[in-house]
Amino acid sequence: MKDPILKVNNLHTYFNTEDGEVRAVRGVSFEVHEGETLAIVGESGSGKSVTSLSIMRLLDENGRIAEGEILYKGRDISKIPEDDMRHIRGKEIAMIFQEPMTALNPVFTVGDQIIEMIMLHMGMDAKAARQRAIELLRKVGIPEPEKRVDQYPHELSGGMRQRAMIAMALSCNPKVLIADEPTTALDVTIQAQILELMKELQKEYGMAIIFITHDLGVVAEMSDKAAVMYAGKVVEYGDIVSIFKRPKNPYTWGLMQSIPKLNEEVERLMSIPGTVPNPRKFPKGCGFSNRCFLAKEKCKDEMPELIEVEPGHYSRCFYIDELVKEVEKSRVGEK
Amino acid sequence: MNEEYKRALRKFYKNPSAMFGLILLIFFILIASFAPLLAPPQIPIDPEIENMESMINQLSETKDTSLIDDLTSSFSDYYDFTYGFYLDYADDVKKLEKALKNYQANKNEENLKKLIDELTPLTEDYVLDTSYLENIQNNLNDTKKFNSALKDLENGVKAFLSKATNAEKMKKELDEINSKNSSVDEFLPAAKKYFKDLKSNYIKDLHYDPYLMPIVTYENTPQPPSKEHPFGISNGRDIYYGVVWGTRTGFKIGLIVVITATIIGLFIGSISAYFGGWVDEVLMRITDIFMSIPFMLSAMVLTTVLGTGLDKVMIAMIVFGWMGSARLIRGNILQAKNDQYVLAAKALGVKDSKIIVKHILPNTIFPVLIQASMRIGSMVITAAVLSFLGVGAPQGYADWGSILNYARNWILGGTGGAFEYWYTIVYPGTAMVLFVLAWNLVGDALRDIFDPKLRG
Ligand SMILES: Nc1ncnc2c1ncn2[C@@H]1O[C@H](COP(=O)(O)OP(=O)(O)OP(=O)(O)O)[C@@H](O)[C@H]1O
Ligand code: SF4
Ligand SMILES: [Mg+2]
Repeated sequence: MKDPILKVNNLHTYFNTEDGEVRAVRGVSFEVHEGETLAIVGESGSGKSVTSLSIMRLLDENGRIAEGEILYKGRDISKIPEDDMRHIRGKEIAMIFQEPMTALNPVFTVGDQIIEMIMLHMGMDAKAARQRAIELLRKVGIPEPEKRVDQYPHELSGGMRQRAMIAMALSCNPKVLIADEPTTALDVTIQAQILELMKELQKEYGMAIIFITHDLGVVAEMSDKAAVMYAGKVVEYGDIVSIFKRPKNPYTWGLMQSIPKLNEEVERLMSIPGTVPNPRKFPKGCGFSNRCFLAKEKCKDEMPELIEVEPGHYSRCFYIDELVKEVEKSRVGEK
Repeated sequence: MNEEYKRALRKFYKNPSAMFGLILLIFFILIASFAPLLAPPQIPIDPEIENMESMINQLSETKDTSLIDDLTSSFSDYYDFTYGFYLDYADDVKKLEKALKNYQANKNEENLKKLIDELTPLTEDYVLDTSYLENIQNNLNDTKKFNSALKDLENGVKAFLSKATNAEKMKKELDEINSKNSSVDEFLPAAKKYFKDLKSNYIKDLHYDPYLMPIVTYENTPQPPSKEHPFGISNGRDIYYGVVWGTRTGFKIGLIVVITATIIGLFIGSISAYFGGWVDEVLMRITDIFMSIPFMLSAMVLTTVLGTGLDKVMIAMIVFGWMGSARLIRGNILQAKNDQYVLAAKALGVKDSKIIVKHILPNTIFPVLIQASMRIGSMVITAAVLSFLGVGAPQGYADWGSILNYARNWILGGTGGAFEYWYTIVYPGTAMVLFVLAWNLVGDALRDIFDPKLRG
């Protein structure tokens, strides 16, 4: 098999704050290949955005990558000089954000901003860049791109702005696109369209996508692989089919049960009780132990290792066997 | 961009209050620029010069050759009286200049003696003021005063010599006129040119300040509007003249104070926001201190320390007027720094410097500029208050606040009835209110058009 285009190895990212060090990410590993989509799933505060910002090296001033490597095409980019990193951003690895409302600069036209990127990375002249910007806008499904290119962000709807943002990110043919909850702020139909668009563009350009979301339902549609994150760690990692068919971690299982299913009545919808622990005082043992229905004494004191339960499928839990039984029981019940 | 430009203009046209503000502002700008035509300054002209002027006019009409002699003789008289003196002593003063240079190059007793020897006869003949000599001789032991006395002398010599050069030029022109006195056609253009130079020299030497409202009567009570003085007379001065020229003063105060204070504020605020940490802490505490001092009080104290006068008032207003912009730009930058488009631009590889110039500044500077444009009007009020309190513009300066200040004793009217002297307040007051209104309306309109947050 080919080498992965991006490989994150044991990433630790800490923040210095007034009340001490916040270990927001404590050992995250995954890899993506060209043309592949990896989903990073987890509840709010689990460290998904911090992971992606670490890859981009765009952490706030008080944050630092304390440990681990980020290999882009085999080269560790976690420690290269800022100047080199800038050439990677946008051109090699691009990122889009959750809020299409604010991710575009309100004082410039959409076209200006896309043209800026194209001229910056591709060295085209203004005229050619404008032509390419219009082409890109058309490609991301914006009607009348010749007109839209001269409009300001506030003149576009949320969905269109996100499309414009995607056009901007794609303007330099990045090899990796990190999308941090790109559809969360949009309503459901628009969300589906944007996801569809991203899939199409991926097919055309062959880039790798890291898709960050807290919605496991979207993951199933979009991705080839998933990394489930909880309290700064990856708790389950593997290809999408194995994870959905044979979940091996109580947290993933909890998330799966909270996906609304069309043919089910609302009252059966489960959600995981409790909340994500505060990263300032993560429990000593398994991060999920205060909410896990399988938790035992051991879970509170010891941290389970990430183990390979079947080829390419990893989970971090002491009681995988018990979970498997639970899953089977519930699936039988459903049928 | 062009499209956007048109759209902005269209938006402006559609906004009646903005249009009104703009028209008012243009009106004031016109008044300010045409002040010399609307209210011509009454320069006191020497009767001799007036006489020459009428002779020239007569000559160009009648072509009467006898006038040529009259004119040349009055030119010569005036020349001897005004310029001749400078040429007569030019050589002596040049010698003095040389002695002074020698002494400055080589400061020894001998050179000093030579310098004094040159200077003494000139002061005795009243060519140069005796104080030059006295200041040098009395301060031989005080180096600092001595040096400043030398400096004064140097300036005095320079001024004298420049007058002498001018006199030489005038002499040449006069000689030319004298050589052309055979025909009117040749004589007239040369004479006209000579007269023009002569008159402008005269006005220059007068140091006439058109901003001084002319005294038209020594009567103390205000005089109601009349044909010659359409806005009436207050404190013996023509109100109409003061209101017209006061427009210039208003623009001067507003623009200079606000532009300077805004630049200072932008500088301090953006440094504060950009560097953060202790720099921010120190600068913001300084800002707080400045803000905590009541403005009027501090401005009054400062003007008393610096001395009264319009420039001093403006300095005080700048010193205590930059904090608003500093705060505003700092807050805006801090906010913009966290805006997602900044992060988004970074994520797509844009350089930091470019992010500041292209993404942060445009989003932060407009509110400051808009606020500044609104403040231009109110600065005039502040200056007026200071004038009203007597620490503003000097006596007779064309300034709305000063005119209002004259009205202080007459506000309630005289024995004749209340509001008898309404014109002492209404005209300058209206001008001031409209001026403030104009800037506010225009500032408002600018905000509507440019503030990205209110767009759409
Ligand atoms: N600059 C920072 N200083 C201190 N703590 C931070 C900083 N940035 C992030 N964190 C902490 O890191 C933790 C993980 O945050 P992160 O934004 O990665 O969560 P997330 O998984 O992306 O959640 P969401 O779904 O809400 O986006 C949070 O608890 C947050 O408090
Ligand atoms: S280790 Fe314990 S607490 Fe953690 S997920 Fe497994 S069973 Fe639950
Ligand atoms: Mg996030």
